[in-house]
Amino acid sequence: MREAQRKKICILGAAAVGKTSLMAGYSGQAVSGDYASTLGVRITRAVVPVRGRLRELIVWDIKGESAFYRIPPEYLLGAHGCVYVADGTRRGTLERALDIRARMREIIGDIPELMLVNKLDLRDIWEVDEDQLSSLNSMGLAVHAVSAHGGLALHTAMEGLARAMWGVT
Amino acid sequence: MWLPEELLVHLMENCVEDRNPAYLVADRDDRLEGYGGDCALYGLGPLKERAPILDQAPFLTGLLPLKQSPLVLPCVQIDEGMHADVHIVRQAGRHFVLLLSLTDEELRQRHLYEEANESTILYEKHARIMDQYLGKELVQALGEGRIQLLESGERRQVSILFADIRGFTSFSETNPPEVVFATLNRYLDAMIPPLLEESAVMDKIMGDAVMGVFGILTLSVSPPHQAVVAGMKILSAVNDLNRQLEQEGRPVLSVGIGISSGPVAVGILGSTAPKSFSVVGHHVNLAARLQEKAESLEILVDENTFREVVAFQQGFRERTATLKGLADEVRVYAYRMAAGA
Repeated sequence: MREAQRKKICILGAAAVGKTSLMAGYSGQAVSGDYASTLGVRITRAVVPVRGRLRELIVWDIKGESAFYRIPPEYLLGAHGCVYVADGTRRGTLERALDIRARMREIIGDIPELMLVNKLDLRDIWEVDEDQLSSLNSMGLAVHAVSAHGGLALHTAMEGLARAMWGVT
Repeated sequence: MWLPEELLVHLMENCVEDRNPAYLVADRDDRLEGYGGDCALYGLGPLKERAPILDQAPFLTGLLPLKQSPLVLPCVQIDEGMHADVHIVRQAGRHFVLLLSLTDEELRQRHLYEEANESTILYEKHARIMDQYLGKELVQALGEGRIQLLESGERRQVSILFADIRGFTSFSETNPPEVVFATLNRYLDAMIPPLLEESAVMDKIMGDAVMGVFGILTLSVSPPHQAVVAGMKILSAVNDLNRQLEQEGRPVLSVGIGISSGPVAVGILGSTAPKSFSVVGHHVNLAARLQEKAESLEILVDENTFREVVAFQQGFRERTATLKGLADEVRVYAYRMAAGA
């Protein structure tokens, strides 16, 4: 597969919002209930259909930010797309994701992006409300409520991002 | 190179060779020109010279040609391979990629950060569970008609308890973050259950202090009685924890508690969920001031509280204290639990 058929995406967000689980769920791997934090960055591959053709995503699953860790900007170099992840049950993680996004855009510019709000299966205890998500959508940031435990929403969101990355409408 | 050869050899042997070096070289057309070391260790391979490097090392996608040289990417894991620091250098159109495994010390440091991080998340979770508990209990009690609270606020006779971990600020400044948060969580684990057992409505955790309000959820037992029992249970739980920490060779802290009873304004704040319970008034401030004045493993109560806890009065000693914000000395009553009791 040549590079034109292969592009780099970065998965970013606060610590423990479920970035790795989401990507495992997306790749069809078993999602473990146990939390294991990512050290640095883990690079894996995922296949995504774009207009009936399979394309390859080189997924940079980057360790989540916290009070003790800031994402090294070098990880973002050469990215073709970005996925920001927040945990719907922890309002602060949405604010953290937006803060990361503001900083990263200064490095990588305006590239295709989306926001995944995880833990859709725990919607009853979400701290993030619809108004917040709608206001982000109206600002031009595509926001999707998703769960690592299955559902079409995650695949639909990722395929939408892939289409934007390959310039397919 | 200005370094003597002996030092260069030393560096090679001790800073490079023991880090499992592996490398790739890409030619001007981004084809694999050469490679060496244990590339498989890092999830790379099988490798084929003259084939496109991006097919064999897809993690370089988007990076070549390098715009800034050298580029160092710390702690990279390719698939299930070993974590490595990746150095990429561009020279005369060719790219050199060096992978060096993390040293044991680096890995240890990173794991320590992870522990600190997980403790932070646990702390947030703790606070959230408390908020949820508060919300659930209040909603349930309101729904069953057990209590009635006017959203616009009303006056109630309550007891307020503040419990604070003594010396925590200086402890947090002199210890690594993972120790700080792990310790904080263990103390909060000892302090919160007694409050819930005695039917306190919990206010939020405020750093190293917690606040409980008695007289909202259950009206069958006098609030001062509930508050004092909760305070004694906290001291006992902290004593048990300290014994455990000493056995583990970990740092030991203490708590101080203040309780005040009297009328306060009680209400529900917030127009949309989550709504928050709020208590305002002189006795809230007084409880906080008493807590500040309390010594290690001591409960300091005001006169209103003392009068109501006849069954425990013998255990208290009367003294006077000057409290911040109050001009005159006030009469206070202290209950002390001996360390290790």
